[in-house]
Amino acid sequence: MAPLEPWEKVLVDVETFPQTVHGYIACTDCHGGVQSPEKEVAHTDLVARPSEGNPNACTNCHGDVSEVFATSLHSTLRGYHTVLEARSTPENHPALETMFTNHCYRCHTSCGDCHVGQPASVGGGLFDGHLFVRTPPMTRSCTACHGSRVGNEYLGKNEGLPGDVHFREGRMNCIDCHSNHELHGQPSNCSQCHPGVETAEVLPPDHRYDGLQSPTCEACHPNTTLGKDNIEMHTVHGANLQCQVCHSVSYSSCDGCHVALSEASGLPYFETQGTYQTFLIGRNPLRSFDRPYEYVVVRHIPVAPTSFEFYGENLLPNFNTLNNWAYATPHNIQRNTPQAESCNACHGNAALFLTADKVNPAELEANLPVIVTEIPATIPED
Amino acid sequence: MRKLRWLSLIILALWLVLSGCQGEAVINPADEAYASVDTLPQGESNPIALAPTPTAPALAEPNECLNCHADQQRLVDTARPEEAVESESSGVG
Repeated sequence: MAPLEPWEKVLVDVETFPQTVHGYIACTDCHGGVQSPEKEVAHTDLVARPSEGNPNACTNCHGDVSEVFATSLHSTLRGYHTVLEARSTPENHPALETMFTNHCYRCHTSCGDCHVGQPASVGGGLFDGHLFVRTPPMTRSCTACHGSRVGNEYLGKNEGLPGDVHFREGRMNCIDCHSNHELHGQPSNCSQCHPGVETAEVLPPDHRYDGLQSPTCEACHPNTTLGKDNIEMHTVHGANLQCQVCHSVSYSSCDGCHVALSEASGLPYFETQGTYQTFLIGRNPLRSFDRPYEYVVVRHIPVAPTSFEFYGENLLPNFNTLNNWAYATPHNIQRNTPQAESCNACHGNAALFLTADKVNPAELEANLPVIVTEIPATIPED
Repeated sequence: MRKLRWLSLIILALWLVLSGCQGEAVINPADEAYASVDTLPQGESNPIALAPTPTAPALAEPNECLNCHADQQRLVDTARPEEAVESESSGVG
Protein backbone atom coordinates (compact mmCIF):
# COMPACT_ATOMS: atom_id res chain seq x y z
CA MET A 1 0.00 0.00 0.00
CA ALA A 2 1.57 3.26 -1.13
CA PRO A 3 1.93 5.85 1.65
CA LEU A 4 -0.21 8.95 1.36
CA GLU A 5 1.17 12.46 1.04
CA PRO A 6 0.63 14.53 4.20
CA TRP A 7 -2.03 16.67 2.51
CA GLU A 8 -3.83 13.59 1.18
CA LYS A 9 -4.24 12.28 4.68
CA VAL A 10 -6.36 15.21 5.81
CA LEU A 11 -8.10 16.48 2.66
CA VAL A 12 -11.88 16.67 3.16
CA ASP A 13 -14.36 16.20 0.31
CA VAL A 14 -16.23 19.46 0.65
CA GLU A 15 -18.82 18.52 -1.97
CA THR A 16 -19.94 15.23 -0.51
CA PHE A 17 -19.08 15.09 3.17
CA PRO A 18 -21.43 17.88 4.30
CA GLN A 19 -24.34 15.99 2.76
CA THR A 20 -23.67 12.87 4.81
CA VAL A 21 -24.97 12.14 8.29
CA HIS A 22 -21.63 12.92 9.88
CA GLY A 23 -21.48 16.17 7.94
CA TYR A 24 -24.22 17.51 10.19
CA ILE A 25 -21.83 17.43 13.13
CA ALA A 26 -19.54 20.40 13.63
CA CYS A 27 -15.85 19.55 13.14
CA THR A 28 -15.00 20.80 16.61
CA ASP A 29 -17.60 18.55 18.24
CA CYS A 30 -15.39 15.56 17.50
CA HIS A 31 -11.97 17.06 16.89
CA GLY A 32 -11.84 19.85 19.43
CA GLY A 33 -9.71 22.79 18.34
CA VAL A 34 -11.07 26.27 17.71
CA GLN A 35 -12.37 28.17 14.70
CA SER A 36 -9.46 30.20 13.39
CA PRO A 37 -7.81 30.83 10.03
CA GLU A 38 -4.43 30.35 11.71
CA LYS A 39 -3.41 26.71 11.73
CA GLU A 40 -1.60 26.81 15.07
CA VAL A 41 -4.54 28.49 16.76
CA ALA A 42 -7.11 26.29 15.06
CA HIS A 43 -5.27 23.19 16.24
CA THR A 44 -5.28 24.20 19.90
CA ASP A 45 -6.30 21.11 21.89
CA LEU A 46 -6.91 19.27 18.63
CA VAL A 47 -8.13 15.68 18.88
CA ALA A 48 -6.71 14.09 15.75
CA ARG A 49 -8.17 10.65 16.51
CA PRO A 50 -11.53 11.26 18.18
CA SER A 51 -12.49 7.58 18.24
CA GLU A 52 -9.69 6.70 20.66
CA GLY A 53 -10.65 5.67 24.17
CA ASN A 54 -13.93 4.69 25.72
CA PRO A 55 -16.14 6.64 25.72
CA ASN A 56 -15.14 8.53 22.61
CA ALA A 57 -16.69 10.77 19.97
CA CYS A 58 -18.53 7.80 18.46
CA THR A 59 -20.14 6.74 21.72
CA ASN A 60 -22.93 9.32 21.72
CA CYS A 61 -24.58 7.78 18.67
CA HIS A 62 -23.00 4.33 18.51
CA GLY A 63 -22.80 3.53 22.21
CA ASP A 64 -23.95 -0.07 21.78
CA VAL A 65 -21.04 -0.81 19.46
CA SER A 66 -18.34 1.21 21.16
CA GLU A 67 -19.08 -0.34 24.55
CA VAL A 68 -18.55 -3.85 23.20
CA PHE A 69 -15.64 -2.78 21.03
CA ALA A 70 -13.70 -1.66 24.08
CA THR A 71 -13.46 -5.35 25.05
CA SER A 72 -12.47 -6.60 21.60
CA LEU A 73 -9.04 -7.86 20.62
CA HIS A 74 -8.85 -5.09 18.02
CA SER A 75 -9.02 -2.60 20.86
CA THR A 76 -7.31 -4.35 23.76
CA LEU A 77 -4.68 -6.44 21.91
CA ARG A 78 -5.30 -8.79 24.81
CA GLY A 79 -3.77 -11.72 22.93
CA TYR A 80 -0.30 -10.21 23.22
CA HIS A 81 -0.65 -9.77 26.97
CA THR A 82 -1.92 -13.34 27.32
CA VAL A 83 1.16 -14.88 25.75
CA LEU A 84 3.64 -12.41 27.25
CA GLU A 85 2.31 -13.03 30.73
CA ALA A 86 2.35 -16.79 30.20
CA ARG A 87 6.00 -16.77 29.12
CA SER A 88 7.24 -14.26 31.71
CA THR A 89 7.01 -13.63 35.44
CA PRO A 90 5.40 -10.68 37.27
CA GLU A 91 8.71 -8.95 38.02
CA ASN A 92 9.33 -8.73 34.26
CA HIS A 93 5.96 -7.21 33.44
CA PRO A 94 7.04 -3.53 33.73
CA ALA A 95 9.89 -4.01 31.24
CA LEU A 96 7.62 -5.95 28.92
CA GLU A 97 4.96 -3.27 29.22
CA THR A 98 7.49 -0.68 28.04
CA MET A 99 8.43 -2.94 25.15
CA PHE A 100 4.75 -3.45 24.35
CA THR A 101 4.06 0.28 24.33
CA ASN A 102 7.02 0.96 22.06
CA HIS A 103 6.58 -1.86 19.57
CA CYS A 104 3.17 -3.49 19.77
CA TYR A 105 0.63 -0.94 20.87
CA ARG A 106 0.44 0.83 17.52
CA CYS A 107 -1.50 -2.17 16.23
CA HIS A 108 -4.34 -1.11 18.52
CA THR A 109 -7.38 -0.20 16.44
CA SER A 110 -10.04 2.44 16.99
CA CYS A 111 -13.37 2.96 15.19
CA GLY A 112 -11.85 5.46 12.77
CA ASP A 113 -9.06 3.08 11.72
CA CYS A 114 -11.65 1.00 9.89
CA HIS A 115 -14.51 3.37 9.16
CA VAL A 116 -12.96 6.64 7.99
CA GLY A 117 -9.23 6.27 7.45
CA GLN A 118 -6.27 3.97 7.19
CA PRO A 119 -5.01 2.47 10.44
CA ALA A 120 -2.53 4.56 12.37
CA SER A 121 -0.10 1.64 12.32
CA VAL A 122 0.37 2.12 8.57
CA GLY A 123 0.59 5.88 8.68
CA GLY A 124 -3.08 6.81 8.81
CA GLY A 125 -4.81 9.13 6.37
CA LEU A 126 -8.45 9.50 5.34
CA PHE A 127 -9.82 6.88 2.95
CA ASP A 128 -11.88 9.22 0.85
CA GLY A 129 -12.25 12.84 1.91
CA HIS A 130 -13.54 12.01 5.42
CA LEU A 131 -16.47 10.00 4.08
CA PHE A 132 -17.36 7.30 6.58
CA VAL A 133 -17.72 3.74 5.31
CA ARG A 134 -19.84 1.00 6.79
CA THR A 135 -17.62 -1.71 5.29
CA PRO A 136 -13.87 -1.22 5.70
CA PRO A 137 -12.01 -1.38 2.39
CA MET A 138 -10.13 -4.67 2.45
CA THR A 139 -6.68 -3.63 1.27
CA ARG A 140 -6.63 -0.18 2.86
CA SER A 141 -7.93 -1.33 6.20
CA CYS A 142 -7.93 -5.07 6.94
CA THR A 143 -4.84 -6.24 5.09
CA ALA A 144 -3.06 -2.96 5.78
CA CYS A 145 -2.49 -4.49 9.23
CA HIS A 146 -3.02 -8.19 8.50
CA GLY A 147 -0.88 -8.11 5.40
CA SER A 148 2.32 -10.07 5.74
CA ARG A 149 0.63 -13.38 6.41
CA VAL A 150 -3.16 -13.25 5.92
CA GLY A 151 -3.15 -10.59 3.20
CA ASN A 152 -0.40 -12.17 1.13
CA GLU A 153 -1.95 -15.60 1.42
CA TYR A 154 -5.49 -14.49 0.66
CA LEU A 155 -4.57 -12.29 -2.30
CA GLY A 156 -2.09 -14.79 -3.76
CA LYS A 157 1.00 -12.64 -3.28
CA ASN A 158 3.27 -15.46 -2.15
CA GLU A 159 5.31 -16.52 -5.16
CA GLY A 160 4.06 -19.70 -6.78
CA LEU A 161 1.08 -20.05 -4.51
CA PRO A 162 -2.51 -19.34 -5.56
CA GLY A 163 -4.71 -16.91 -3.70
CA ASP A 164 -7.58 -18.15 -1.62
CA VAL A 165 -10.42 -19.66 -3.64
CA HIS A 166 -12.87 -17.39 -1.84
CA PHE A 167 -11.02 -14.42 -3.29
CA ARG A 168 -10.06 -15.88 -6.68
CA GLU A 169 -13.47 -17.28 -7.50
CA GLY A 170 -15.78 -15.48 -5.13
CA ARG A 171 -14.12 -12.07 -4.81
CA MET A 172 -15.10 -12.27 -1.17
CA ASN A 173 -14.12 -9.48 1.16
CA CYS A 174 -12.91 -10.11 4.72
CA ILE A 175 -16.24 -9.16 6.21
CA ASP A 176 -18.02 -11.77 4.13
CA CYS A 177 -16.71 -14.26 6.68
CA HIS A 178 -15.68 -12.08 9.61
CA SER A 179 -18.88 -10.56 10.94
CA ASN A 180 -19.23 -7.25 12.68
CA HIS A 181 -19.81 -9.15 15.92
CA GLU A 182 -16.39 -10.70 15.52
CA LEU A 183 -14.61 -7.52 14.51
CA HIS A 184 -16.33 -5.33 17.09
CA GLY A 185 -16.10 -7.92 19.86
CA GLN A 186 -18.48 -10.43 21.30
CA PRO A 187 -21.68 -9.03 22.76
CA SER A 188 -22.41 -10.38 26.21
CA ASN A 189 -25.55 -12.14 25.00
CA CYS A 190 -23.63 -14.09 22.34
CA SER A 191 -24.55 -17.43 23.91
CA GLN A 192 -28.22 -16.84 23.20
CA CYS A 193 -27.52 -17.64 19.58
CA HIS A 194 -24.45 -19.84 19.99
CA PRO A 195 -25.06 -22.22 22.88
CA GLY A 196 -22.32 -24.66 23.69
CA VAL A 197 -21.32 -26.71 26.67
CA GLU A 198 -18.22 -24.60 27.24
CA THR A 199 -19.72 -21.25 26.42
CA ALA A 200 -22.63 -20.67 28.76
CA GLU A 201 -20.99 -17.37 29.54
CA VAL A 202 -19.08 -15.56 26.85
CA LEU A 203 -16.23 -13.50 28.17
CA PRO A 204 -14.02 -11.20 26.12
CA PRO A 205 -11.43 -13.34 24.35
CA ASP A 206 -7.91 -13.83 25.67
CA HIS A 207 -6.47 -14.41 22.22
CA ARG A 208 -7.63 -14.83 18.65
CA TYR A 209 -8.49 -18.51 19.01
CA ASP A 210 -10.20 -18.17 22.36
CA GLY A 211 -13.83 -19.17 22.80
CA LEU A 212 -16.25 -19.64 19.96
CA GLN A 213 -14.82 -20.41 16.57
CA SER A 214 -15.94 -17.63 14.31
CA PRO A 215 -16.12 -17.80 11.41
CA THR A 216 -16.46 -21.50 10.71
CA CYS A 217 -16.20 -23.13 7.32
CA GLU A 218 -19.26 -25.24 8.16
CA ALA A 219 -21.44 -22.14 8.41
CA CYS A 220 -21.36 -21.91 4.61
CA HIS A 221 -20.50 -25.56 3.88
CA PRO A 222 -22.80 -27.50 6.24
CA ASN A 223 -22.92 -30.60 4.06
CA THR A 224 -19.28 -31.29 4.75
CA THR A 225 -20.09 -32.18 8.34
CA LEU A 226 -23.44 -33.82 7.71
CA GLY A 227 -22.12 -36.54 5.43
CA LYS A 228 -24.31 -35.30 2.59
CA ASP A 229 -21.67 -34.30 0.07
CA ASN A 230 -20.57 -37.82 -0.88
CA ILE A 231 -16.92 -36.98 -0.21
CA GLU A 232 -15.42 -39.93 1.56
CA MET A 233 -12.63 -37.95 3.23
CA HIS A 234 -15.19 -35.69 4.93
CA THR A 235 -17.09 -38.71 6.22
CA VAL A 236 -14.02 -40.57 7.41
CA HIS A 237 -12.21 -37.67 9.09
CA GLY A 238 -15.16 -35.66 10.35
CA ALA A 239 -14.11 -33.22 13.04
CA ASN A 240 -10.76 -34.93 13.52
CA LEU A 241 -9.07 -32.61 11.07
CA GLN A 242 -9.16 -28.84 10.92
CA CYS A 243 -10.45 -27.96 7.43
CA GLN A 244 -7.14 -26.28 6.56
CA VAL A 245 -5.27 -29.57 6.94
CA CYS A 246 -6.70 -30.68 3.62
CA HIS A 247 -7.64 -27.37 2.05
CA SER A 248 -4.76 -24.97 2.56
CA VAL A 249 -1.38 -24.80 0.89
CA SER A 250 1.98 -23.48 2.07
CA TYR A 251 1.94 -20.41 4.25
CA SER A 252 4.46 -18.12 5.94
CA SER A 253 6.43 -18.99 9.04
CA CYS A 254 8.91 -16.65 10.71
CA ASP A 255 11.92 -16.99 13.00
CA GLY A 256 13.66 -14.89 15.58
CA CYS A 257 12.00 -11.50 15.82
CA HIS A 258 13.97 -9.07 17.97
CA VAL A 259 12.99 -5.53 18.86
CA ALA A 260 15.01 -2.51 19.97
CA LEU A 261 15.15 1.26 19.89
CA SER A 262 17.43 2.82 17.30
CA GLU A 263 20.61 4.39 18.67
CA ALA A 264 20.50 6.95 15.87
CA SER A 265 16.85 8.02 15.87
CA GLY A 266 15.46 6.57 19.08
CA LEU A 267 12.66 5.01 17.03
CA PRO A 268 11.54 1.43 17.57
CA TYR A 269 12.51 -1.19 15.04
CA PHE A 270 12.45 -4.95 14.61
CA GLU A 271 14.52 -7.59 12.90
CA THR A 272 13.09 -10.89 11.74
CA GLN A 273 15.75 -13.49 11.12
CA GLY A 274 13.87 -15.57 8.61
CA THR A 275 10.59 -15.90 6.76
CA TYR A 276 9.82 -18.99 4.73
CA GLN A 277 6.94 -21.04 3.40
CA THR A 278 5.87 -24.12 5.32
CA PHE A 279 3.05 -26.58 5.36
CA LEU A 280 3.14 -28.73 8.46
CA ILE A 281 0.47 -30.64 10.31
CA GLY A 282 0.74 -30.79 14.08
CA ARG A 283 -1.32 -31.94 17.01
CA ASN A 284 -3.94 -29.47 18.14
CA PRO A 285 -2.68 -27.49 21.15
CA LEU A 286 -6.06 -25.76 21.62
CA ARG A 287 -8.34 -28.79 21.57
CA SER A 288 -11.76 -27.81 22.89
CA PHE A 289 -15.47 -28.14 22.23
CA ASP A 290 -15.18 -25.43 19.59
CA ARG A 291 -11.94 -26.75 18.09
CA PRO A 292 -12.17 -30.51 18.52
CA TYR A 293 -9.62 -31.39 15.86
CA GLU A 294 -6.83 -33.84 16.59
CA TYR A 295 -4.68 -32.40 13.82
CA VAL A 296 -4.27 -28.79 12.71
CA VAL A 297 -1.79 -26.89 10.59
CA VAL A 298 0.90 -25.11 12.58
CA ARG A 299 2.91 -22.00 11.81
CA HIS A 300 6.25 -21.05 13.36
CA ILE A 301 5.75 -17.72 15.07
CA PRO A 302 8.79 -15.48 15.43
CA VAL A 303 8.99 -15.11 19.20
CA ALA A 304 12.28 -16.32 20.70
CA PRO A 305 13.57 -16.43 24.27
CA THR A 306 15.73 -13.39 23.49
CA SER A 307 13.17 -11.41 21.46
CA PHE A 308 12.95 -8.60 24.03
CA GLU A 309 16.43 -8.68 25.53
CA PHE A 310 16.93 -5.01 24.60
CA TYR A 311 14.61 -4.29 27.53
CA GLY A 312 16.22 -6.67 30.01
CA GLU A 313 17.81 -10.04 30.48
CA ASN A 314 15.76 -13.21 30.49
CA LEU A 315 12.40 -11.48 30.27
CA LEU A 316 10.72 -14.69 29.12
CA PRO A 317 11.94 -17.25 31.70
CA ASN A 318 8.85 -19.40 31.09
CA PHE A 319 9.31 -19.44 27.35
CA ASN A 320 8.60 -23.15 27.15
CA THR A 321 5.14 -22.73 28.66
CA LEU A 322 3.72 -22.11 25.19
CA ASN A 323 4.51 -23.71 21.84
CA ASN A 324 5.90 -21.45 19.12
CA TRP A 325 4.77 -23.77 16.38
CA ALA A 326 1.30 -22.34 16.77
CA TYR A 327 -2.24 -23.24 15.73
CA ALA A 328 -2.74 -21.52 12.40
CA THR A 329 -5.57 -20.70 10.05
CA PRO A 330 -3.92 -19.98 6.69
CA HIS A 331 -6.05 -17.86 4.40
CA ASN A 332 -5.20 -19.67 1.18
CA ILE A 333 -7.99 -22.23 0.97
CA GLN A 334 -8.14 -24.41 -2.15
CA ARG A 335 -10.65 -27.03 -3.18
CA ASN A 336 -7.88 -29.33 -4.39
CA THR A 337 -4.51 -29.57 -2.69
CA PRO A 338 -1.53 -31.91 -3.01
CA GLN A 339 -2.10 -33.47 0.41
CA ALA A 340 -5.74 -34.25 -0.35
CA GLU A 341 -5.14 -35.89 -3.74
CA SER A 342 -5.38 -39.33 -2.24
CA CYS A 343 -5.31 -41.07 1.14
CA ASN A 344 -1.61 -41.79 0.90
CA ALA A 345 -0.71 -38.30 -0.23
CA CYS A 346 -1.01 -37.60 3.47
CA HIS A 347 -1.01 -40.95 5.28
CA GLY A 348 2.52 -42.17 5.71
CA ASN A 349 3.94 -38.91 4.33
CA ALA A 350 6.21 -37.76 7.15
CA ALA A 351 7.21 -34.63 5.23
CA LEU A 352 3.81 -33.11 5.96
CA PHE A 353 3.94 -33.53 9.72
CA LEU A 354 5.71 -31.54 12.41
CA THR A 355 8.00 -34.21 13.77
CA ALA A 356 10.73 -33.64 16.36
CA ASP A 357 13.48 -33.60 13.73
CA LYS A 358 11.91 -30.47 12.17
CA VAL A 359 11.96 -28.52 15.43
CA ASN A 360 14.88 -26.41 16.65
CA PRO A 361 16.36 -28.45 19.54
CA ALA A 362 16.17 -25.36 21.78
CA GLU A 363 12.43 -25.28 21.18
CA LEU A 364 11.66 -28.96 21.57
CA GLU A 365 10.25 -28.70 25.07
CA ALA A 366 8.01 -25.78 24.18
CA ASN A 367 6.56 -27.65 21.23
CA LEU A 368 5.94 -31.06 22.76
CA PRO A 369 2.15 -30.46 22.70
CA VAL A 370 2.15 -30.06 18.92
CA ILE A 371 4.88 -32.43 17.76
CA VAL A 372 3.54 -35.50 15.95
CA THR A 373 5.20 -38.61 17.29
CA GLU A 374 3.44 -41.14 15.12
CA ILE A 375 2.72 -40.51 11.46
CA PRO A 376 -0.73 -41.80 10.43
CA ALA A 377 -0.16 -45.15 8.78
CA THR A 378 -0.30 -45.72 5.05
CA ILE A 379 -3.66 -46.95 3.82
CA PRO A 380 -3.37 -50.27 1.97
CA GLU A 381 -4.33 -49.94 -1.69
CA ASP A 382 -7.33 -52.04 -2.82
CA MET B 1 -95.45 13.86 29.10
CA ARG B 2 -96.39 14.83 25.52
CA LYS B 3 -95.15 18.40 26.24
CA LEU B 4 -91.82 17.06 27.40
CA ARG B 5 -91.41 14.95 24.21
CA TRP B 6 -92.13 18.03 22.02
CA LEU B 7 -89.69 20.11 24.01
CA SER B 8 -86.96 17.49 23.50
CA LEU B 9 -87.61 17.38 19.74
CA ILE B 10 -87.42 21.18 19.46
CA ILE B 11 -84.11 21.29 21.39
CA LEU B 12 -82.65 18.54 19.18
CA ALA B 13 -83.74 20.36 15.99
CA LEU B 14 -82.27 23.65 17.22
CA TRP B 15 -78.94 21.93 18.09
CA LEU B 16 -78.75 20.37 14.60
CA VAL B 17 -79.46 23.69 12.88
CA LEU B 18 -77.02 25.68 15.01
CA SER B 19 -74.19 23.14 14.72
CA GLY B 20 -74.24 23.66 10.96
CA CYS B 21 -73.30 27.29 11.55
CA GLN B 22 -70.31 26.43 13.79
CA GLY B 23 -66.86 27.68 12.64
CA GLU B 24 -64.11 25.27 11.50
CA ALA B 25 -62.42 23.54 14.38
CA VAL B 26 -58.87 24.72 15.07
CA ILE B 27 -56.56 21.78 15.58
CA ASN B 28 -53.43 22.32 17.55
CA PRO B 29 -50.56 20.63 15.64
CA ALA B 30 -49.18 19.35 18.88
CA ASP B 31 -52.51 17.74 19.67
CA GLU B 32 -52.49 16.15 16.22
CA ALA B 33 -49.06 14.72 16.85
CA TYR B 34 -50.15 13.18 20.09
CA ALA B 35 -53.27 11.88 18.36
CA SER B 36 -51.14 10.15 15.76
CA VAL B 37 -49.05 8.57 18.51
CA ASP B 38 -52.18 7.16 20.03
CA THR B 39 -53.15 5.52 16.77
CA LEU B 40 -49.76 3.89 16.14
CA PRO B 41 -49.85 0.10 16.13
CA GLN B 42 -48.35 -1.37 19.25
CA GLY B 43 -44.58 -1.82 18.98
CA GLU B 44 -44.04 0.85 16.35
CA SER B 45 -42.11 3.91 17.30
CA ASN B 46 -43.47 7.38 16.87
CA PRO B 47 -42.10 8.80 13.60
CA ILE B 48 -42.84 12.36 14.64
CA ALA B 49 -41.01 12.06 17.90
CA LEU B 50 -37.97 10.39 16.27
CA ALA B 51 -37.66 12.60 13.22
CA PRO B 52 -34.52 14.72 13.54
CA THR B 53 -35.00 18.42 13.51
CA PRO B 54 -34.10 19.51 9.99
CA THR B 55 -31.06 21.68 10.15
CA ALA B 56 -28.57 22.79 7.60
CA PRO B 57 -25.38 20.75 7.53
CA ALA B 58 -22.98 22.09 10.09
CA LEU B 59 -20.30 22.40 7.46
CA ALA B 60 -22.45 24.65 5.29
CA GLU B 61 -21.84 27.45 7.77
CA PRO B 62 -18.64 29.46 7.55
CA ASN B 63 -16.10 26.98 8.75
CA GLU B 64 -12.41 27.69 9.12
CA CYS B 65 -11.66 23.98 9.49
CA LEU B 66 -13.16 23.20 6.14
CA ASN B 67 -11.78 26.28 4.45
CA CYS B 68 -8.34 24.81 4.99
CA HIS B 69 -9.00 21.07 4.84
CA ALA B 70 -10.80 21.32 1.51
CA ASP B 71 -8.00 23.34 -0.05
CA GLN B 72 -5.27 21.05 -1.30
CA GLN B 73 -2.75 23.80 -1.98
CA ARG B 74 -3.23 25.34 1.43
CA LEU B 75 -2.68 21.96 3.06
CA VAL B 76 0.49 21.51 1.05
CA ASP B 77 1.71 24.98 1.98
CA THR B 78 1.00 24.65 5.68
CA ALA B 79 2.07 21.04 6.18
CA ARG B 80 4.68 20.58 8.84
CA PRO B 81 7.90 19.46 7.13
CA GLU B 82 8.37 15.76 7.73
CA GLU B 83 11.88 14.56 8.27
CA ALA B 84 12.25 11.36 6.32
CA VAL B 85 13.54 8.76 8.73
CA GLU B 86 14.44 5.47 7.16
CA SER B 87 13.15 2.56 9.16
CA GLU B 88 15.81 0.28 10.58
CA SER B 89 13.39 -2.63 10.65
CA SER B 90 14.31 -5.62 8.58
CA GLY B 91 12.43 -8.73 7.66
CA VAL B 92 8.73 -9.43 7.64
CA GLY B 93 6.77 -7.75 10.42
